[in-house]
Amino acid sequence: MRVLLVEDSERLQRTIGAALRKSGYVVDATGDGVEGLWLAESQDYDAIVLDIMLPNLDGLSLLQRLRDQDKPAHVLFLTAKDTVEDRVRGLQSGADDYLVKPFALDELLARVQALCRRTYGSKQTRLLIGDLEIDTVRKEVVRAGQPVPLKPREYLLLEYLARRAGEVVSRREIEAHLYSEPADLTSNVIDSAISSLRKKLGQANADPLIHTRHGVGYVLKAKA
Amino acid sequence: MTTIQQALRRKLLVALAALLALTGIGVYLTTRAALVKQFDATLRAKAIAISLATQQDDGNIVVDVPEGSLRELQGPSGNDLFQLWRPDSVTIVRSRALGDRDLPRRSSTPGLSTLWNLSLPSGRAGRAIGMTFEPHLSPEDREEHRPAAVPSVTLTVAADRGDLDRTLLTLGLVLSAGGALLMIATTLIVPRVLRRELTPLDRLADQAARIDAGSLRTRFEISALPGELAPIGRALNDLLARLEWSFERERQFSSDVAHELRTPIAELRSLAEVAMKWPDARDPRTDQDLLGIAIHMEGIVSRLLTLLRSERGLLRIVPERIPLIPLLSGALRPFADRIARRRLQISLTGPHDALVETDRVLLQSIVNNVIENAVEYTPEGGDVRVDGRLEQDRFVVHITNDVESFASEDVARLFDRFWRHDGARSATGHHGLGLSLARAFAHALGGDLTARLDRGRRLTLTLSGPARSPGPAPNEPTPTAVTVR
Repeated sequence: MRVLLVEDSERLQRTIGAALRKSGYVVDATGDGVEGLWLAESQDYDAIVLDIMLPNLDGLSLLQRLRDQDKPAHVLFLTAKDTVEDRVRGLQSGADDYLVKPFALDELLARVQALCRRTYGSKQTRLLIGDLEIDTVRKEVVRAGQPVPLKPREYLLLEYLARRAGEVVSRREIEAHLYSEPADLTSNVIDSAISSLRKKLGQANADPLIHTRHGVGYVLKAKA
Repeated sequence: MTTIQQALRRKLLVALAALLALTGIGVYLTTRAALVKQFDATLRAKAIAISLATQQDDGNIVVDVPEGSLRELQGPSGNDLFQLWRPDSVTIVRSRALGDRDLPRRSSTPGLSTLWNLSLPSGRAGRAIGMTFEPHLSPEDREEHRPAAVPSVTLTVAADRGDLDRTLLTLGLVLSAGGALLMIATTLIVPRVLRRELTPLDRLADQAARIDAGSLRTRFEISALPGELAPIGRALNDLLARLEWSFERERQFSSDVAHELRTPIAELRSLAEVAMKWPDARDPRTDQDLLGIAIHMEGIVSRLLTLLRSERGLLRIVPERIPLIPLLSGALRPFADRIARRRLQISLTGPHDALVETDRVLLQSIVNNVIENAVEYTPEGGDVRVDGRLEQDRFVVHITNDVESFASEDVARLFDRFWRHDGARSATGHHGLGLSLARAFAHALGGDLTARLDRGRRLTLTLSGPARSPGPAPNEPTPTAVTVR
């Protein structure tokens, strides 16, 4: 899951960025409105955490420009502006959520997660594909009743594929949502992650879940 | 507590009662005078008629009362009576109704008459006229040309004044009853009229009573008020406007402070939460950050307090003689690095002997703040001009610099608390309080700090104040230390 954080307090940028990264998100952060807009235009983010008072371009105008371009990104305003009018204006300008500073870190993380879920049209915190079960809150995976221990990066890859179960997901999309540095497409970073994930999910006599579509990408589904 | 209504009612009724009484008495007295005068005229006419009917004939006095007009005098009713006496008080003739009773006799100078009230022999009230005259000679005597040794006779004519008294009594009763009725009606009507006419006052009071801190936007509709209340309505509206402004200012201030503290608190909280949630991955900068946040919050609080103190006039002014140009160049010195790094062109102009007598700490703070702002917001390679001089008995310092994307609305907000040009908050380390403080200090020095934008790209801040400060007033609070970075 890729999240954009636009926050002009350098300290908040660092702590929120660290917290999001620790929670498994890929985070791009900036303290400048114009740069934030540029990032939001050039990438598809699963969620954007946006301050309102920003240098060069304020958060409301930034969101307005994104909406003018029909960018569907889910936006959470994180701001010190706390009046009812401010909240209403924020939500009416196209934001999906509004959180007032100071805030509880867990609440921010939960809200960002909720926004990401929405990106994939599902409000489920428990994903079921065949005999595979993913608890997205506790980040636990069970296949055929057996827990599957995964590394954070593997879990994120699986959750991303599961959110889009049945769809072909390109390597480019996987890269954009899960890796902070652009991966060399000729490298086998994604291939090896897929292969290690397959290995861990591959219980005895179990049907394969992750299927390769050559030259296109991967698809997660119960039966080929 | 007396109400206007009660006072008006009381005074109106007393005044009306006095007026009615005076009018009533006046009407009564004039009418009585007129009636008595008429009565007297009739009485006199009768007396004259009798005197004309009295003749001296051959030494005897003869009264030949004509039939008709004077018949009543001789009639049996006894309403009109007369009696005529010879000078030796012997009765010549009297009304038959008198029998052998006498009327009072009052002689007077011939040709004049006396009028008086009396009790008639019948016991009723009457009025009498008394006159003394010389009867004229009978035609026979006149023909015989007898020498006129004519004795004067005295006549009293009296009439019953019962009718007159009854008329006057009726008049008095009518006047009193009318007055009383009028008073009763007025007593009933006046309060109602007063109540009705004073309802706008009640409404005003009612509306005013409903105003509280939450409804200061209310205004009285002046056009709906009567002329006398309009000035009160206007004064109340002015008061409300002032109250609303100062409430709004206080509210704005509280909300600004709360808003301004939200970001550092959020920083503090999220730092702590991240450190607790992932203790192994503790950022080594955390402690430094904590200190930075504490210093930032401290800065906000101490500046706010200084600003409040300054606005309440609690700053102590200690005037001293300060050379203006060295002060300005001294204020530029700490920014030398920044000026060099950003390749700013600096010029400082003004007569070197300009001396100002004012508070050094405050003046220094103002100048530092304004110069820091100029250095901070001038685009790279731009120029900053500082000019200081005396104009008559005032010192004037202009600080002009290039600005980018600065709108005329920004000039108006430049001195607002917590306003920052780029909308950024704490990132730059500025609190957005520097220029508010500078202006408050300028006011404390008896001067002002104003801003002007020329052609959208040159901003001039002008500090002016008395070149000689009046000095500290007696009994001022102890000096306040002012330190502004």
